[in-house]
Amino acid sequence: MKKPETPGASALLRATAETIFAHELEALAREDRHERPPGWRLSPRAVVTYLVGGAAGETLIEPKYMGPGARRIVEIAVATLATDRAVLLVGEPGTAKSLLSEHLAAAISGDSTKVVQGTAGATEEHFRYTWNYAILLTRGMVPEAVVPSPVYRAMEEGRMVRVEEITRCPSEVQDALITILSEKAIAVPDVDLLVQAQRGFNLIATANLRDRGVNEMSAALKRRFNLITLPVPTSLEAEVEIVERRVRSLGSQLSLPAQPPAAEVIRRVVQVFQELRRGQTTDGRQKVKSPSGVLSTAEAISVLGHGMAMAGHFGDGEVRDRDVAASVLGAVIKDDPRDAGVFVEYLENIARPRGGAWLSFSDACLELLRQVG
Amino acid sequence: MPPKAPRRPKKPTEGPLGRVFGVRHHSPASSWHLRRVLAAVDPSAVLIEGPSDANGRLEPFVHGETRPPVALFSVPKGGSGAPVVYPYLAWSPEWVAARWGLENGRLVRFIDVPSSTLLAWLSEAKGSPRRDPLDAAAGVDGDDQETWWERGFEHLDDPEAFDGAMASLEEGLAGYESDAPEEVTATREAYMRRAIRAVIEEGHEPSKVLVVCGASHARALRWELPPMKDGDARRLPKVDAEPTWMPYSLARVAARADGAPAPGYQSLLWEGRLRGGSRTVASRFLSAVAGLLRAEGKVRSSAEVIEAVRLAEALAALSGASAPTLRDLLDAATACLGGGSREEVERFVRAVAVGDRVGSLPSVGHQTPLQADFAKQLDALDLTAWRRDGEPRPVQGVTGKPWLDLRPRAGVLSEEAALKDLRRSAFLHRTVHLRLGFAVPVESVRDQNTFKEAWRAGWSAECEVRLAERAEDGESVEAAARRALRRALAACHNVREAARLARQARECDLLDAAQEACDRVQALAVDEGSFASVADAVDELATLVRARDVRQTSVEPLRPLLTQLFLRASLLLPTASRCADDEATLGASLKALEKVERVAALEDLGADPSAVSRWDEALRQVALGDSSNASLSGVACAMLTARGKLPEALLDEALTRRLSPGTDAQQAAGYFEGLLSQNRDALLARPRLWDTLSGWIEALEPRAFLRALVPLRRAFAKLNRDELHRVQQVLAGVWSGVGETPEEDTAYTPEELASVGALLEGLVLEP
Repeated sequence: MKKPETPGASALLRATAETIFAHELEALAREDRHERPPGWRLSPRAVVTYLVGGAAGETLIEPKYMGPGARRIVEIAVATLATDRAVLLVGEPGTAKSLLSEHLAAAISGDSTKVVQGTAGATEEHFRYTWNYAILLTRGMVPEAVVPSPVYRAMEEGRMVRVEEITRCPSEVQDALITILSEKAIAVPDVDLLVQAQRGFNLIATANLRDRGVNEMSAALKRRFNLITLPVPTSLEAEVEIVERRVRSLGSQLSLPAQPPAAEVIRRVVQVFQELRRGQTTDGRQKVKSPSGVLSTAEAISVLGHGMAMAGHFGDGEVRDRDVAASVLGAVIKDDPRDAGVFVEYLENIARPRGGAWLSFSDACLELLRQVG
Repeated sequence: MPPKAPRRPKKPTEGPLGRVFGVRHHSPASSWHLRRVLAAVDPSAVLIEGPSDANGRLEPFVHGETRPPVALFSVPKGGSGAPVVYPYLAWSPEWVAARWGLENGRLVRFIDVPSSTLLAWLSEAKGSPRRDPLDAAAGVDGDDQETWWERGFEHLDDPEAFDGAMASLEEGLAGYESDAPEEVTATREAYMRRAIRAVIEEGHEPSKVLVVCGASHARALRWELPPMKDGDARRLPKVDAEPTWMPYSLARVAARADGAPAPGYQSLLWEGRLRGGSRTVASRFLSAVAGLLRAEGKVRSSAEVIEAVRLAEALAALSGASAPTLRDLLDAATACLGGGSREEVERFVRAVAVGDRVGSLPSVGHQTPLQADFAKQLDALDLTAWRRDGEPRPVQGVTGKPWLDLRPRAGVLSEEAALKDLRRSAFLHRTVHLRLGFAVPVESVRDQNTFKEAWRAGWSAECEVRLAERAEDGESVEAAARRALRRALAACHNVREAARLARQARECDLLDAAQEACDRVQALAVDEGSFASVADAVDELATLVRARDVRQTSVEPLRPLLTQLFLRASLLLPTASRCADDEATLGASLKALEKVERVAALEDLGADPSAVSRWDEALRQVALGDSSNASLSGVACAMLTARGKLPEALLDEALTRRLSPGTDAQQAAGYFEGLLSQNRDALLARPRLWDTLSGWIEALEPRAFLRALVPLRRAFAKLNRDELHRVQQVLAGVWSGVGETPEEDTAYTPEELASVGALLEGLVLEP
């Protein structure tokens, strides 16, 4: 698949990581004095710097993955990939697994586009190769008839391949990876072709081990990976920091016409999410019923992004409580009808008594709920 | 010409006092480089930071049978204070230095203040036990102190690099104020300076004197700084204590604040160094972890271990280090052996990191004082036969019976012989408090008689280990038991526990501890709000008082305490009696009530009569009042009647009121049940009672009767055949109006049976 010409990030909805942060990657490559493993664009240390933030000469490197223990987690992932072991990032939804996977591939191989998306309908062909039936019919079994999968191409080019949500694939299909990861080769016996992985090939997978529609990973496959569990941010401060940064970058990326929300607004949304998620208030004094949804960090970010869009297009550019109220409702009340009651209880018993800005926030949410019914 | 006397070289006036080698306690790298320095310097004197009163007891360092970990410990005689312990592992610099010095015939001396002084300081709450000043020195990059040390020092093989690193560390620590107050550290350093100077005076060349001390003290051992004056050294505070050796274990080293948190891991590092390379440490560690996982049934393949080792090494390389630290090993184990979850592997990693090795001392001449005293006591009391391995056997008393007779024997020559069994009892009670698992009292025998005590005793290897472990509790069985009791007393927060400890202390013949326990009982009794606890306490104290003749101790001091508790119980009783009807609460309250009543009934207890009358008053309140639980009311009534404290008329009145048609049937039946549970003879002799009961039952409606059935059945089930027969007689008399023995037997006619059957069925079907 040819990468389309990028006339600048502004025309694309979502540019790749290596495009957005091209200047950082360049600076890191320039200043890098450490040894690079064969096939890698940067040394492991530079990759870690790219991901957790720091400096490369004069250029400031923005942190991509934040949180408590972020550095250690990134170090383990990079060390794993440097020893030619595949990495499996495990965690709750919204803990930045895909983000980490994308940036790792961007930093190491300069290319984060080789992705296999795991779905219930995935087949072995998604991992290995498939056939171009037109050529097959007209010319017969020729090497050109083979349509390579991302894994195949990554092997040929010596780059990283990403497998997202590997546990959503049926178990038999997952097991196709076992041989690929041991042999590091794909054979197409029909055309007498054997593709062996070039140095620099490796696989980054993400999985959500405890969700509906998830298949068990066989022990043999698990053994081919080093598993890293990405934590959910535990403290309010840590999560607020993450959300703040991401909202700011989201705003600039999507060219939203509003100012980034005030720190207080962000904090309030994150606190609501955390308290509902944990089942107790931040000071630990009161118990709260949890709704059925996950209320992950990623959702908090998108809620605030939505708020910015509302404020920018329909408001005065400043993000207020009523701008976020609608999307907060949408995030909290998903499919279980009882969630509405849970949220109302929370607003009445915990949010409103706090007074001040919490009062207006709760009122906005309750008003909307009443309108929606 | 006579040979010229050798000229003494002039003493320097500045610089370090001799060759000072700063170390970190229990660090394999420190010991490894120390060996190198010992070989290079070849000193004539090796001076070590250790208690100077251990000089002269250093033989275990070089004894062939000693296996570290071992420890020097010092405890004040009499077991009144905390001990001070100096553990030594095979890779402790002190161990390495002392061994080298002794094996090569050099002067080896410990130069720190004596342990008796440290103990004195501890009791004044002046100085805390040694704390590693590195606690605060690390903490950069989010690394904890151990990882920082490992990365920066532990893996340094190059002599120059290590020396350089230690030098800069010593600089940094020079002005550092550790946990101990300044004066303690300064005093110790002055003492050490004095000791080093003395060795140099004795004729050793300063450049041939090697001083091994903690890195934080290194910069203080210099010529410029003044040594301690002789007078001050003499005037150092001391307690009566002597350092002795005991076996130790890696687990205990890990548990100490001033020990090493991962001695098992350190042992791997040390063995790696001895083998000539630390490359295999990671493999050995992770293989051990996998082994433990497999032992638990969680299968892990060797391939996973290999991957974990590679990951650990890659992590180390990422930080520019040459070898993985313990933290790297833990993270690698999490990723490869634990499936991403730290909780899976943490337990096993910790087990390997701490290790389970236990040290031992040479068997001859190296008993801890506690072991020696234990053996001596066994010998004196003729109990050595029970120190054989085997199943627990009953302990034979002097009379040849399988119990100890605590009464003094007449017709024997010495006091020892007369009180032998009593002394044995005290000794065995003491061993119980040492938790040796050696002797166990047989409870059933004790309750009934105060002079009989049965014990079962048996030895095992475990007992030996535990006896060695208790070494730091005291220098004799008595002292150790006293310490254990004092610890338990400090931890108890309930008047029942305190009273129990008072009784136990008396049984151990430790009167001062018993007195402390009684004081505690008094203090706790004031606030105690639980009737059950107070009742238990009363019981315990009463047992003590009753045993006075046998235990040969005066119990006068206990009487006021007993009275006080009695009073408290009386005050708590009315509230406590308003308890719920369920089995557990009722049963507990009942037991408590019985305990106190038992004490009240024993007039020879000499309890203050006014206290007893107050108790009677409380009982009367429960018996006649309506708010108490019905069963307890009945019981109280019965108790008072048994002691003759309830006039006939009042009993009648109470009974009639209780068994009147207006009361709830179940409650009434419960009352009767309570009444019947105590002193039945008195009740059986009162026909009026049965008359009332009979009348009441007959007047019951069917439903009410069914509800009363269960308590009534319970009540009558407790009677034996004789009593049942008497009840029959009384009832026959009541029903017929004449005291006749009924001829008919208790067989029922079929119709009556059928009607009862129907009633019972109704009982079952009723919702």
